Amino acid sequence: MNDRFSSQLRQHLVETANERPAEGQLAAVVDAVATTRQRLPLVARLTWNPGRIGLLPSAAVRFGLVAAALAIAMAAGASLAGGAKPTTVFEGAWTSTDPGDTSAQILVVGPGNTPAVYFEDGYATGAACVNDPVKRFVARGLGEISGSHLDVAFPDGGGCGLVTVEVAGSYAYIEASDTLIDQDQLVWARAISDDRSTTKSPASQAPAPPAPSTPAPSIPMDAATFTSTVHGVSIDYPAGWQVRPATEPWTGGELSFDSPAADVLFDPALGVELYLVVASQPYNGLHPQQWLRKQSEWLCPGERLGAGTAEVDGTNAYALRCSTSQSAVLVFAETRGYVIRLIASAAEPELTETYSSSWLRELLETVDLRPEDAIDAVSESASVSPS
Amino acid sequence: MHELVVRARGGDRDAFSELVARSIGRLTAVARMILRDEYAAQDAVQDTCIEAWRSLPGLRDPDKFDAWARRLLVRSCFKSMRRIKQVSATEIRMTPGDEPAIAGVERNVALHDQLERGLARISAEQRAVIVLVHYLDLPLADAAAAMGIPLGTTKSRLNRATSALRAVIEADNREPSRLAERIAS
Repeated sequence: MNDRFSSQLRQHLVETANERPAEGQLAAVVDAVATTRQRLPLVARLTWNPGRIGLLPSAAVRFGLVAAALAIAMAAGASLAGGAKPTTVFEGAWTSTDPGDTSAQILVVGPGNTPAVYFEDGYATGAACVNDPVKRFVARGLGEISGSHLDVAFPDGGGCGLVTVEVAGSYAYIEASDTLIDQDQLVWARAISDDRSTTKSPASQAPAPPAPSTPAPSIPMDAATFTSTVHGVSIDYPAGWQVRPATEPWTGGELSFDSPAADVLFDPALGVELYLVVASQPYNGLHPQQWLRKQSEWLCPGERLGAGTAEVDGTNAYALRCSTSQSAVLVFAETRGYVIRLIASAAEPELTETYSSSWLRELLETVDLRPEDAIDAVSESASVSPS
Repeated sequence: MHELVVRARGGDRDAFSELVARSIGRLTAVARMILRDEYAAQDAVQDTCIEAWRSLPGLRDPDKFDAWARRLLVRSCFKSMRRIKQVSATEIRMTPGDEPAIAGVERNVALHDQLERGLARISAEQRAVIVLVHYLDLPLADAAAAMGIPLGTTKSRLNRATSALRAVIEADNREPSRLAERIAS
């Protein structure tokens, strides 16, 4: 870096900075704070010792736990709500995935502004349950709804049977995605798909159908945004999913769940059975058409179900539907190409049905290409757009 | 400061108001530089303060309040930037400063103009790293923490941002009329 330039830049910033708050800005903040409650310091999520036990052993177990949690949520929801129409947006059953150990968590909120609340972590790895043979953590409490916030106190604490610990929870309702976000920014999805516009109670749908194998029937796309620091792109992903960012630039080769060069977005309850891969690389002298052909060879090695042009973030792209379980989109930015690949296990028809190409299209609308931020293996400066 | 944070963390709104009063000017300046939109900057600062109040009980080390608030602000700015992206692109096209430089102006004034135009053209993420390092004078590690990205990425982002800024200025010096044409197209 040129020191003289840096010094001029610093001087410019200091001289032009406007540190004077706008008129009424401070008062507006004070007013807003006066009507806003703080989140409780204790958390309802039970990851005191994340990683102690690690990921649950198999997909079958994970499916089982998710299904069991959903079934319990439905039953508890029906019990708490009593089959009436929901009186608040919080009423009903919610699920999330514990990011510490991928176990399923449920939250059931009863009717009214001071609802009865039931919390359960299907497989608690925290210290509270360390001596319990069954690691199912349960807490029952009372909530207080204020606007779009629900604060829950559990007077008797919670535990797996032998020991109880103090817990509390705070949840904000996000209307756009019909989800909850708790004090640790964990997203909770409705356990039962319902249409809020018809104010139909989740509990009123009882008797509930068998739990599906997908973790949450509703797939809010605006749950969180992932920004790739390696590949120069940001993308929204569904509630409950996790991200494993790339640790190195993509220099070539196939991209799958374990590729260190890929940003992998996945449902922790399903792992390799449902995930997205995102990566980018410079064309390295290839014409975009040649680059497309090269990537298509490994993305769709056999026959493909369909293909066609598309547009992602205002940039030309090419969509490939390789099979019922694999789709990909190749995006041609000025200086580099992007691959966004969706894999949903062919062994699970519900997955391929839910995570279809129309789902992928919805997700692609959230893509923000930032090729200038991408990092390349040979020379970082090579990724700076010349224009 | 430490005592104010502790009191605010315990739910004391007056203490929090005092904290906000002390830091709102600097936060607003940073948001203005990153977002380059007065109303968006005010909104980002307000969102930051409210989020800080709500989450304050979770802040373990009161001495890290400033760094924590910076991080909330940068996150809020990025979120805001995504919302106003299209509007900003239009505004850049209409910036009067894109007109060719007038001959005879003093060199430092011209440089300030060029820097201002350059800052308008680089991305919000690039502006953020420049503001954190060159305006707030933060060490790279603290800037990385504020943006929530690794140190290595912060270094390369700062290098690229500075290079991009220089490139814009150099191109501006070489071909002002063609530059104006390209931006207007």
